[in-house]
Amino acid sequence: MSNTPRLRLCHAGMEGRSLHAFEIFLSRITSIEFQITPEDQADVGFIDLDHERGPQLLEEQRRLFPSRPLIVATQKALASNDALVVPLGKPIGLGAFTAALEQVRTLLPASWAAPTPLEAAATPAPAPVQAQPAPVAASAAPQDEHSLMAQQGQDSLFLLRQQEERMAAFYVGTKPDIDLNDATARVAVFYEPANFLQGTISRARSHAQEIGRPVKINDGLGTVLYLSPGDNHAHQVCSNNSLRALAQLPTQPSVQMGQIDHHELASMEDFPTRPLISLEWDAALWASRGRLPLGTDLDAPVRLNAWPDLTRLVIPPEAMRIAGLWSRQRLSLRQTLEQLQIPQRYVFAFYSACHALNLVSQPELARQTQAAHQHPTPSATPEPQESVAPQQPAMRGLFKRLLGKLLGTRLGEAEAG
Amino acid sequence: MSHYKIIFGGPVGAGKTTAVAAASDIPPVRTDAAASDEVRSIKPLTTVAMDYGLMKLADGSTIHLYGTPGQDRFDFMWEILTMGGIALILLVDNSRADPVKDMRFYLQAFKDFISRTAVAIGVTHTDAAPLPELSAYAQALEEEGMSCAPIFTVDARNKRDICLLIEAVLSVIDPLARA
Repeated sequence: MSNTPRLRLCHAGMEGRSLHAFEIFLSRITSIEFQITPEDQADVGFIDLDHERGPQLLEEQRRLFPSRPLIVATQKALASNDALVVPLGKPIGLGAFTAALEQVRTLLPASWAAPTPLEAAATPAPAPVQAQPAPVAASAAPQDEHSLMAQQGQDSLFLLRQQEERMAAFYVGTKPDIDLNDATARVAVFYEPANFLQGTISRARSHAQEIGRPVKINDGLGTVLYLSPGDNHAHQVCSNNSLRALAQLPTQPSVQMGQIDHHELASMEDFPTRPLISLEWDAALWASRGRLPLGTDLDAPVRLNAWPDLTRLVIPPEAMRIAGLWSRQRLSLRQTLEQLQIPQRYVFAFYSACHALNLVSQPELARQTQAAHQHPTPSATPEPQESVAPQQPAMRGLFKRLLGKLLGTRLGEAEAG
Repeated sequence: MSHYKIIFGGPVGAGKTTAVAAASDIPPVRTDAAASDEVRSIKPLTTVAMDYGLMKLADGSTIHLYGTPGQDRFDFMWEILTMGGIALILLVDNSRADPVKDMRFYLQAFKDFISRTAVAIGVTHTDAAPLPELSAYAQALEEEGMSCAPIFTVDARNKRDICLLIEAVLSVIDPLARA
């Protein structure tokens, strides 16, 4: 059996019949071990550039996963200076696709072929070597065992953090921090939700509730969503990839809501359904990409009106800690960043998604907070949950270990604790 | 050695026993007895003293999980079990007649404990009874002066859901702690 790990491949720009045909095609490749995986777990991406959003998908892949090799299929000649792009002419033959897979494998970092600590942990250990008597007291043995366990926990935790980072990029992008005191640079941290699919969905939901009937959203090529106000669900016609691509860019005039006729009323039930709230949450994260809704005050205290339902919604990075902090104190976004010492995009994305669901607000005047910012006294702001005990740093070590374990469960990986 | 405890409270049938079992790294210890009162219409067995589970951490330390009996005639156990606890996970059965009132009752019953620690609320059985929605609970929490308590929809059988509740309550207690 080969020691080379199985190549993890994701695809973008294929849906329905073309995706089905592609999967049948892939099943005929036997010389290279690979598997189809979700986008955030892949080593290599495959994009059909001739898809209506092919160029957008390519650009997005590059932005989200700049170091990931890509196989790009197209009927046209592909002019690309990107060393990590392997062009593939159509029609695609088995031999050509296999050769492309071989080629992208050479583009992967050397660390790819080495088993990760998690994988190593999952691999049966070699036969134990006869240990020499250790020149230490017998009582030290349990301590060493605990040290080893703790080290393994740290390794696993590091990998879990890496995995969380990759997933984070999918929803909140990779936008670096900026100097928030620089007025020119600060402009870049704001976006106008109304100009994105997020805004269209919000308007369509309000309209549907007003008329008491479902409405649809078209993107110029056809219907992408049906919103049903009765059961607060959406029927998603397009793929998740297409929806994300549509949600990330400012909407074109062709993206509009429309009334649905009787035929569509029946046929919309055939499409996958999801809670409207999760659609709005995702659309806000994708539109925000680590930015804030226009009009947000960086210095006004944030009131967390209620926690988002984080067992049923995508959990943006550090969402628990941000919400936990806002549960204890009304801090401004700037103070939140100072306290948690995490990337701006994490805080801004979480705020934007909560804002889309009316879970946060900034009820106090910004100028009052401006004064507070000049003399930062976090405890000067009201304590919204008076029942919360003061912080207990003495238990922080325990909490860290427990949170490591919980992160492992959350990410569905080997537990870090 | 320190004895760190997380307490699971809530009404009969909310899923406390199931939640402790879901989060525990050992087979849970149960103190079930045949239900002899109105509980029999909900389930044949009910917890009379406590449920017990354990989460094992990398350094060998442990977190003890205690499920309280749901019936208020066993409320003397609530005080005993919460002694030394670090947080409360309150589970509420959405299919009961007035689950928001249930939540208020248990928040009141555990008021002293919550004031020393923190609470996260899990709403169960939403597949059987989608209403009331979380917003109704959020409104009640606001009225109780606890608007910032985490409240999630949970399936008590789902380990991830229960662990997220625990993660949320820890984040409220110490948001600066990071894995």
